[in-house]
Amino acid sequence: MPLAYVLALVVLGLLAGSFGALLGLGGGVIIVPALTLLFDMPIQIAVGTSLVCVIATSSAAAAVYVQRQLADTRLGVVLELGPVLGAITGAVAVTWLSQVTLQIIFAVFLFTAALLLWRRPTPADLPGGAVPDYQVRNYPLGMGISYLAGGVSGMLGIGGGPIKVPLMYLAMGVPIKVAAATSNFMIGVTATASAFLYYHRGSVVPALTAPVVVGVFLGALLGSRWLRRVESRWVQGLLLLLLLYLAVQMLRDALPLIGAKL
Amino acid sequence: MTLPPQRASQAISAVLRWGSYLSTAVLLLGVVWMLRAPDVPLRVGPAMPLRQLGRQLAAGNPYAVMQLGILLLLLTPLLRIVTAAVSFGLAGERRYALVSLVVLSLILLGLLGVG
Repeated sequence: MPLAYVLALVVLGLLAGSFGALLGLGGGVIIVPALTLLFDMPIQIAVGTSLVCVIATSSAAAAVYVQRQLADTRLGVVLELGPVLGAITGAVAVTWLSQVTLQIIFAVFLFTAALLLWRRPTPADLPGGAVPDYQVRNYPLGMGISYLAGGVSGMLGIGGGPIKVPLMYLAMGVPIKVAAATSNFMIGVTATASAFLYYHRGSVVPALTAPVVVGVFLGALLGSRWLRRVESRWVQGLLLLLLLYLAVQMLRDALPLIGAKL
Repeated sequence: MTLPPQRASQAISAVLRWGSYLSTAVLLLGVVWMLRAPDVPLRVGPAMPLRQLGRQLAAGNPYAVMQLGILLLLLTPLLRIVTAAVSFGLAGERRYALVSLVVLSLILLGLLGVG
Protein backbone atom coordinates (compact mmCIF):
# COMPACT_ATOMS: atom_id res chain seq x y z
CA MET A 1 0.00 0.00 0.00
CA PRO A 2 1.38 3.49 -0.80
CA LEU A 3 3.37 4.97 2.07
CA ALA A 4 1.56 8.34 1.87
CA TYR A 5 -1.85 6.68 2.21
CA VAL A 6 -0.78 4.66 5.26
CA LEU A 7 0.81 7.73 6.86
CA ALA A 8 -2.37 9.75 6.24
CA LEU A 9 -4.36 7.06 8.10
CA VAL A 10 -1.87 7.17 11.01
CA VAL A 11 -2.09 10.99 11.15
CA LEU A 12 -5.90 10.85 11.16
CA GLY A 13 -5.67 8.42 14.08
CA LEU A 14 -3.19 10.67 15.90
CA LEU A 15 -5.52 13.68 15.58
CA ALA A 16 -8.63 11.75 16.61
CA GLY A 17 -6.83 10.06 19.53
CA SER A 18 -5.31 13.24 20.96
CA PHE A 19 -8.54 15.25 20.58
CA GLY A 20 -10.42 12.35 22.12
CA ALA A 21 -8.14 12.13 25.17
CA LEU A 22 -8.26 15.92 25.72
CA LEU A 23 -12.04 15.98 25.61
CA GLY A 24 -12.92 12.56 27.03
CA LEU A 25 -14.20 11.22 23.71
CA GLY A 26 -13.27 7.99 21.96
CA GLY A 27 -12.46 9.67 18.66
CA GLY A 28 -15.17 7.87 16.65
CA VAL A 29 -16.96 11.15 15.94
CA ILE A 30 -13.92 12.23 13.92
CA ILE A 31 -12.77 8.88 12.50
CA VAL A 32 -16.03 7.77 10.87
CA PRO A 33 -16.78 10.99 8.91
CA ALA A 34 -13.10 11.50 8.04
CA LEU A 35 -12.73 7.98 6.62
CA THR A 36 -16.00 8.34 4.71
CA LEU A 37 -15.35 11.83 3.32
CA LEU A 38 -11.57 12.04 2.94
CA PHE A 39 -10.68 8.40 2.28
CA ASP A 40 -13.88 7.57 0.38
CA MET A 41 -14.54 4.43 2.43
CA PRO A 42 -18.01 2.84 2.68
CA ILE A 43 -19.51 3.96 6.00
CA GLN A 44 -19.77 0.38 7.33
CA ILE A 45 -15.99 -0.08 6.97
CA ALA A 46 -15.42 3.32 8.60
CA VAL A 47 -17.68 2.23 11.50
CA GLY A 48 -15.88 -1.14 11.83
CA THR A 49 -12.51 0.64 11.94
CA SER A 50 -13.75 3.15 14.48
CA LEU A 51 -15.10 0.43 16.80
CA VAL A 52 -11.68 -1.25 16.90
CA CYS A 53 -10.09 2.14 17.74
CA VAL A 54 -12.65 2.69 20.51
CA ILE A 55 -11.68 -0.66 22.07
CA ALA A 56 -7.97 0.29 22.04
CA THR A 57 -8.37 3.73 23.66
CA SER A 58 -11.05 2.80 26.17
CA SER A 59 -9.15 -0.31 27.32
CA ALA A 60 -5.95 1.67 27.94
CA ALA A 61 -7.85 4.45 29.75
CA ALA A 62 -9.96 2.01 31.78
CA ALA A 63 -6.79 0.19 32.93
CA VAL A 64 -5.72 3.39 34.71
CA TYR A 65 -9.18 4.13 36.14
CA VAL A 66 -9.63 0.58 37.45
CA GLN A 67 -6.17 0.55 39.06
CA ARG A 68 -6.95 3.83 40.85
CA GLN A 69 -10.28 2.25 41.90
CA LEU A 70 -12.18 5.15 40.33
CA ALA A 71 -14.32 2.94 38.09
CA ASP A 72 -17.32 1.38 39.87
CA THR A 73 -16.84 -2.16 38.53
CA ARG A 74 -20.05 -3.48 40.13
CA LEU A 75 -22.14 -0.75 38.51
CA GLY A 76 -20.22 -1.21 35.23
CA VAL A 77 -20.80 -4.96 35.10
CA VAL A 78 -24.56 -4.64 35.75
CA LEU A 79 -25.11 -1.64 33.47
CA GLU A 80 -23.11 -3.35 30.70
CA LEU A 81 -26.09 -5.61 29.97
CA GLY A 82 -28.00 -2.71 28.37
CA PRO A 83 -25.35 -1.39 25.96
CA VAL A 84 -24.18 -4.89 24.96
CA LEU A 85 -27.72 -5.83 23.90
CA GLY A 86 -28.05 -2.42 22.25
CA ALA A 87 -24.73 -2.77 20.41
CA ILE A 88 -25.74 -6.15 18.97
CA THR A 89 -29.12 -4.70 17.92
CA GLY A 90 -27.42 -1.68 16.34
CA ALA A 91 -24.83 -3.78 14.48
CA VAL A 92 -27.59 -6.00 13.06
CA ALA A 93 -29.99 -3.14 12.28
CA VAL A 94 -27.29 -1.29 10.37
CA THR A 95 -27.37 -3.93 7.62
CA TRP A 96 -30.96 -2.91 6.80
CA LEU A 97 -29.99 0.71 6.17
CA SER A 98 -28.50 2.21 3.01
CA GLN A 99 -25.21 4.12 2.93
CA VAL A 100 -27.13 7.39 2.40
CA THR A 101 -29.49 6.81 5.34
CA LEU A 102 -26.54 6.01 7.58
CA GLN A 103 -24.71 9.15 6.49
CA ILE A 104 -27.77 11.27 7.30
CA ILE A 105 -28.18 9.59 10.72
CA PHE A 106 -24.48 10.23 11.37
CA ALA A 107 -24.80 13.89 10.36
CA VAL A 108 -27.73 14.34 12.78
CA PHE A 109 -25.66 12.64 15.47
CA LEU A 110 -22.72 14.99 14.78
CA PHE A 111 -24.99 18.05 15.21
CA THR A 112 -26.26 16.60 18.51
CA ALA A 113 -22.72 15.77 19.66
CA ALA A 114 -21.64 19.35 18.88
CA LEU A 115 -24.50 20.68 21.02
CA LEU A 116 -23.69 18.29 23.89
CA LEU A 117 -20.01 19.16 23.65
CA TRP A 118 -20.77 22.82 24.18
CA ARG A 119 -22.19 22.14 27.63
CA ARG A 120 -20.27 19.15 28.87
CA PRO A 121 -17.24 19.14 31.19
CA THR A 122 -13.89 17.95 29.78
CA PRO A 123 -11.52 15.61 31.70
CA ALA A 124 -9.51 18.68 32.80
CA ASP A 125 -12.67 20.10 34.46
CA LEU A 126 -13.30 17.04 36.62
CA PRO A 127 -13.05 17.84 40.31
CA GLY A 128 -9.91 16.70 42.15
CA GLY A 129 -9.77 15.16 45.62
CA ALA A 130 -11.64 12.25 47.13
CA VAL A 131 -14.83 10.86 45.61
CA PRO A 132 -17.89 11.51 47.82
CA ASP A 133 -20.04 8.59 49.06
CA TYR A 134 -22.96 7.78 46.79
CA GLN A 135 -25.84 5.39 46.35
CA VAL A 136 -26.65 4.27 42.79
CA ARG A 137 -30.35 4.74 41.94
CA ASN A 138 -32.63 4.40 38.89
CA TYR A 139 -31.15 1.16 37.54
CA PRO A 140 -34.09 0.48 35.14
CA LEU A 141 -33.81 3.96 33.59
CA GLY A 142 -30.03 3.58 33.36
CA MET A 143 -30.38 0.20 31.68
CA GLY A 144 -32.94 1.54 29.18
CA ILE A 145 -30.93 4.58 28.13
CA SER A 146 -27.66 2.68 28.01
CA TYR A 147 -29.38 0.14 25.72
CA LEU A 148 -30.05 3.04 23.35
CA ALA A 149 -26.46 4.29 23.78
CA GLY A 150 -25.25 0.79 22.84
CA GLY A 151 -27.51 0.84 19.77
CA VAL A 152 -26.03 4.16 18.62
CA SER A 153 -22.53 2.77 19.27
CA GLY A 154 -23.14 -0.39 17.23
CA MET A 155 -24.68 1.57 14.38
CA LEU A 156 -22.33 4.56 14.19
CA GLY A 157 -19.04 3.26 15.63
CA ILE A 158 -18.79 5.62 18.57
CA GLY A 159 -18.14 4.75 22.21
CA GLY A 160 -21.26 6.35 23.64
CA GLY A 161 -19.52 8.10 26.56
CA PRO A 162 -21.32 11.42 25.92
CA ILE A 163 -24.61 9.60 26.62
CA LYS A 164 -23.52 7.30 29.48
CA VAL A 165 -21.60 9.85 31.56
CA PRO A 166 -24.47 12.41 31.93
CA LEU A 167 -26.89 9.49 32.46
CA MET A 168 -24.93 8.12 35.43
CA TYR A 169 -24.17 11.58 36.81
CA LEU A 170 -27.58 13.22 36.43
CA ALA A 171 -30.04 10.34 36.68
CA MET A 172 -28.27 7.65 38.72
CA GLY A 173 -26.55 9.71 41.43
CA VAL A 174 -22.98 8.71 40.48
CA PRO A 175 -20.23 11.35 41.03
CA ILE A 176 -18.96 12.73 37.71
CA LYS A 177 -15.43 11.35 38.12
CA VAL A 178 -16.72 7.84 38.83
CA ALA A 179 -19.23 8.16 35.97
CA ALA A 180 -16.44 9.06 33.48
CA ALA A 181 -14.24 6.19 34.72
CA THR A 182 -17.08 3.63 34.74
CA SER A 183 -18.19 4.69 31.25
CA ASN A 184 -14.68 3.95 29.96
CA PHE A 185 -14.73 0.60 31.77
CA MET A 186 -17.93 -0.35 29.91
CA ILE A 187 -17.18 1.10 26.46
CA GLY A 188 -14.61 -1.54 25.44
CA VAL A 189 -17.09 -4.34 26.06
CA THR A 190 -19.90 -2.51 24.24
CA ALA A 191 -17.66 -1.84 21.23
CA THR A 192 -16.45 -5.47 21.17
CA ALA A 193 -20.03 -6.78 21.08
CA SER A 194 -20.64 -4.97 17.76
CA ALA A 195 -17.04 -5.04 16.44
CA PHE A 196 -17.13 -8.86 16.30
CA LEU A 197 -20.19 -8.65 14.05
CA TYR A 198 -18.52 -6.08 11.77
CA TYR A 199 -15.39 -8.27 11.67
CA HIS A 200 -17.46 -11.34 10.87
CA ARG A 201 -19.18 -9.71 7.89
CA GLY A 202 -15.94 -8.34 6.46
CA SER A 203 -16.31 -4.69 7.50
CA VAL A 204 -13.00 -4.68 9.38
CA VAL A 205 -10.21 -4.41 6.79
CA PRO A 206 -6.89 -5.09 8.61
CA ALA A 207 -4.73 -3.06 6.17
CA LEU A 208 -6.91 0.04 6.74
CA THR A 209 -7.82 -0.47 10.39
CA ALA A 210 -4.28 -1.18 11.69
CA PRO A 211 -2.70 2.22 10.79
CA VAL A 212 -5.67 4.13 12.25
CA VAL A 213 -5.61 2.15 15.52
CA VAL A 214 -1.85 2.69 15.91
CA GLY A 215 -2.36 6.46 15.37
CA VAL A 216 -5.32 6.68 17.75
CA PHE A 217 -3.49 4.79 20.48
CA LEU A 218 -0.38 6.99 20.26
CA GLY A 219 -2.56 10.11 19.96
CA ALA A 220 -4.48 9.16 23.11
CA LEU A 221 -1.20 8.68 25.01
CA LEU A 222 0.00 12.12 23.89
CA GLY A 223 -3.39 13.75 24.54
CA SER A 224 -3.53 12.49 28.12
CA ARG A 225 -0.03 13.95 28.72
CA TRP A 226 -1.11 17.35 27.38
CA LEU A 227 -4.28 17.32 29.48
CA ARG A 228 -2.98 19.67 32.16
CA ARG A 229 -1.07 21.95 29.78
CA VAL A 230 -3.62 22.73 27.08
CA GLU A 231 -6.53 25.13 27.58
CA SER A 232 -9.39 22.66 27.14
CA ARG A 233 -11.98 25.31 26.20
CA TRP A 234 -9.99 26.12 23.05
CA VAL A 235 -9.80 22.46 22.09
CA GLN A 236 -13.50 22.12 22.80
CA GLY A 237 -14.28 25.12 20.55
CA LEU A 238 -12.07 23.76 17.79
CA LEU A 239 -13.70 20.31 17.92
CA LEU A 240 -17.15 21.92 17.94
CA LEU A 241 -16.35 23.70 14.66
CA LEU A 242 -14.86 20.49 13.23
CA LEU A 243 -17.97 18.47 14.14
CA LEU A 244 -20.28 21.05 12.56
CA TYR A 245 -18.12 21.10 9.42
CA LEU A 246 -18.10 17.27 9.21
CA ALA A 247 -21.89 17.17 9.76
CA VAL A 248 -22.49 19.62 6.90
CA GLN A 249 -20.07 17.70 4.64
CA MET A 250 -21.75 14.37 5.45
CA LEU A 251 -25.11 15.88 4.47
CA ARG A 252 -23.68 17.47 1.32
CA ASP A 253 -22.18 14.12 0.39
CA ALA A 254 -25.46 12.26 1.00
CA LEU A 255 -28.04 14.67 -0.42
CA PRO A 256 -27.12 14.43 -4.13
CA LEU A 257 -27.39 10.65 -3.80
CA ILE A 258 -30.95 11.04 -2.50
CA GLY A 259 -31.69 13.32 -5.47
CA ALA A 260 -30.29 10.69 -7.82
CA LYS A 261 -32.54 8.06 -6.26
CA LEU A 262 -35.65 10.22 -6.59
CA MET B 1 -10.04 -18.58 48.96
CA THR B 2 -11.10 -14.92 48.84
CA LEU B 3 -9.72 -12.06 46.80
CA PRO B 4 -9.26 -8.56 48.25
CA PRO B 5 -10.83 -5.78 46.07
CA GLN B 6 -7.39 -4.27 45.40
CA ARG B 7 -6.09 -7.52 43.90
CA ALA B 8 -9.19 -7.79 41.71
CA SER B 9 -8.67 -4.22 40.42
CA GLN B 10 -5.01 -4.96 39.71
CA ALA B 11 -5.90 -8.11 37.75
CA ILE B 12 -8.59 -6.35 35.64
CA SER B 13 -6.31 -3.37 35.08
CA ALA B 14 -3.42 -5.62 33.98
CA VAL B 15 -5.61 -7.44 31.44
CA LEU B 16 -6.78 -4.13 29.93
CA ARG B 17 -3.33 -2.54 29.92
CA TRP B 18 -1.39 -5.49 28.52
CA GLY B 19 -4.16 -6.39 26.08
CA SER B 20 -4.28 -2.92 24.55
CA TYR B 21 -0.50 -2.38 24.53
CA LEU B 22 0.32 -5.82 23.16
CA SER B 23 -2.27 -5.69 20.39
CA THR B 24 -1.22 -2.15 19.37
CA ALA B 25 2.42 -3.31 19.27
CA VAL B 26 1.44 -6.22 17.00
CA LEU B 27 -0.57 -3.83 14.79
CA LEU B 28 2.41 -1.45 14.56
CA LEU B 29 4.68 -4.37 13.64
CA GLY B 30 2.22 -5.37 10.90
CA VAL B 31 2.02 -1.82 9.49
CA VAL B 32 5.82 -1.37 9.41
CA TRP B 33 6.21 -4.85 7.90
CA MET B 34 3.61 -4.06 5.22
CA LEU B 35 5.49 -0.89 4.25
CA ARG B 36 8.85 -2.67 4.15
CA ALA B 37 7.62 -5.64 2.11
CA PRO B 38 6.39 -4.21 -1.22
CA ASP B 39 6.72 -7.63 -2.85
CA VAL B 40 3.86 -9.03 -0.71
CA PRO B 41 0.66 -8.79 -2.81
CA LEU B 42 -1.57 -5.89 -1.73
CA ARG B 43 -4.53 -7.12 0.26
CA VAL B 44 -7.11 -4.45 1.01
CA GLY B 45 -10.04 -6.64 1.84
CA PRO B 46 -11.83 -8.41 4.66
CA ALA B 47 -9.92 -10.46 7.23
CA MET B 48 -8.76 -13.89 6.06
CA PRO B 49 -10.44 -17.05 7.45
CA LEU B 50 -9.03 -18.09 10.83
CA ARG B 51 -7.85 -21.48 9.52
CA GLN B 52 -5.51 -19.63 7.11
CA LEU B 53 -4.21 -17.21 9.71
CA GLY B 54 -1.66 -19.53 11.35
CA ARG B 55 -0.16 -20.56 8.01
CA GLN B 56 0.01 -16.95 6.79
CA LEU B 57 1.63 -15.84 10.05
CA ALA B 58 4.25 -18.56 9.70
CA ALA B 59 4.84 -17.38 6.10
CA GLY B 60 5.50 -13.84 7.39
CA ASN B 61 2.45 -12.20 5.78
CA PRO B 62 2.14 -8.66 7.23
CA TYR B 63 -1.64 -8.65 6.63
CA ALA B 64 -1.93 -11.72 8.87
CA VAL B 65 0.13 -9.93 11.55
CA MET B 66 -2.29 -6.96 11.45
CA GLN B 67 -5.26 -9.32 11.63
CA LEU B 68 -3.72 -11.01 14.67
CA GLY B 69 -3.37 -7.57 16.33
CA ILE B 70 -7.04 -6.81 15.68
CA LEU B 71 -8.13 -10.19 17.07
CA LEU B 72 -6.01 -9.67 20.21
CA LEU B 73 -7.66 -6.28 20.67
CA LEU B 74 -11.18 -7.71 20.21
CA LEU B 75 -10.41 -10.45 22.73
CA THR B 76 -9.10 -8.01 25.39
CA PRO B 77 -12.55 -6.86 26.67
CA LEU B 78 -13.74 -10.49 26.67
CA LEU B 79 -10.77 -11.49 28.81
CA ARG B 80 -11.58 -8.51 31.05
CA ILE B 81 -15.13 -9.88 31.53
CA VAL B 82 -13.75 -13.32 32.44
CA THR B 83 -11.24 -11.77 34.88
CA ALA B 84 -14.02 -9.69 36.49
CA ALA B 85 -16.27 -12.77 36.76
CA VAL B 86 -13.50 -14.82 38.42
CA SER B 87 -12.62 -11.91 40.75
CA PHE B 88 -16.23 -11.46 41.82
CA GLY B 89 -16.58 -15.23 42.25
CA LEU B 90 -13.48 -15.44 44.46
CA ALA B 91 -14.69 -12.45 46.49
CA GLY B 92 -17.95 -14.31 47.18
CA GLU B 93 -20.00 -11.86 45.09
CA ARG B 94 -21.73 -14.51 43.02
CA ARG B 95 -24.44 -12.18 41.71
CA TYR B 96 -21.90 -9.95 39.95
CA ALA B 97 -19.94 -12.98 38.71
CA LEU B 98 -23.14 -14.33 37.18
CA VAL B 99 -24.03 -11.00 35.51
CA SER B 100 -20.51 -10.87 34.01
CA LEU B 101 -20.98 -14.34 32.54
CA VAL B 102 -24.40 -13.34 31.16
CA VAL B 103 -22.76 -10.36 29.38
CA LEU B 104 -20.09 -12.69 27.94
CA SER B 105 -22.75 -15.17 26.78
CA LEU B 106 -24.73 -12.36 25.09
CA ILE B 107 -21.68 -11.31 23.06
CA LEU B 108 -20.92 -14.91 22.04
CA LEU B 109 -24.58 -15.64 21.25
CA GLY B 110 -24.77 -12.45 19.16
CA LEU B 111 -21.80 -13.66 17.14
CA LEU B 112 -23.14 -17.22 16.75
CA GLY B 113 -26.67 -15.99 15.99
CA VAL B 114 -25.50 -13.76 13.18
CA GLY B 115 -22.65 -15.98 12.05
